[in-house]
Amino acid sequence: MAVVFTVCSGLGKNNLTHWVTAAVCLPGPRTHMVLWRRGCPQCTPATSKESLPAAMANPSEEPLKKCFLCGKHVHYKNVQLLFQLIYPHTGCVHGRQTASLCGKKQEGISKAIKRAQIMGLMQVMCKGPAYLRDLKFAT
Amino acid sequence: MPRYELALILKAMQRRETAAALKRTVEALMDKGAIVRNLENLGERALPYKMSAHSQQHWRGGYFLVDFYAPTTTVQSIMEHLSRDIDVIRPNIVKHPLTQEVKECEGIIPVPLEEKLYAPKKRK
Repeated sequence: MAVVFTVCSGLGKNNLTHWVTAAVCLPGPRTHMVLWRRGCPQCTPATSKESLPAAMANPSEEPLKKCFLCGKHVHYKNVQLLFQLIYPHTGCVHGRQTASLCGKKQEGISKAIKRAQIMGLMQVMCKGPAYLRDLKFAT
Repeated sequence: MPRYELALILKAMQRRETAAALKRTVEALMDKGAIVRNLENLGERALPYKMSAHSQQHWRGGYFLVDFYAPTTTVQSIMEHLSRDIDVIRPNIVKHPLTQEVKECEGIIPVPLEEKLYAPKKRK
């Protein structure tokens, strides 16, 4: 419970009409505080709608970084790409941070790897002998 | 009719027998009501791991890709028919990857790692 008074002084003591009537509100447990007043014509109230800054998105915000697979389709058939995202000694898939892929592409890659392994296109526990000399993705 | 892709691994055989097996497979597909669009040969090569099918072990196989249109209800019967064929090591029917659209990726969303440093205690 709170009581709010706003007073704005007029020109002279005699001009009692310029005195602002108080703004009183007794907010309940869940009502918002509402300010209303009959302000004097001389003073400009601070909370008019034109002078407040308008709410908008951050204009200097940069677009999110894209991973190297963004916008490209991940095939279970291009085994060379899938082998590059695998640890050569164990056959485990690289994590999201080491591979630096976004969420959707990481899921797509892990699904494609599983598919290729089950369909008989890709080795499971090691890297294929033809692709051992490829560029290392992450140590 | 949706478009499917059959990744077929056939036994390593002579050219005549491979041709006969392929002809049998494609005819079976067409009998079930599929429309075969294309047949690709990925060559005969060593399998990634030893596969056993129909009480025989295989180390080499011929890889073939068949893309076809088929009604959705016949896919299961096609798979059953292929698994009964002795010359087929591993049949796999998959939705054709070219039919799937590439959705727009927003980018890598930065994860606040400080929050993950002290993970909340898991309740049993």
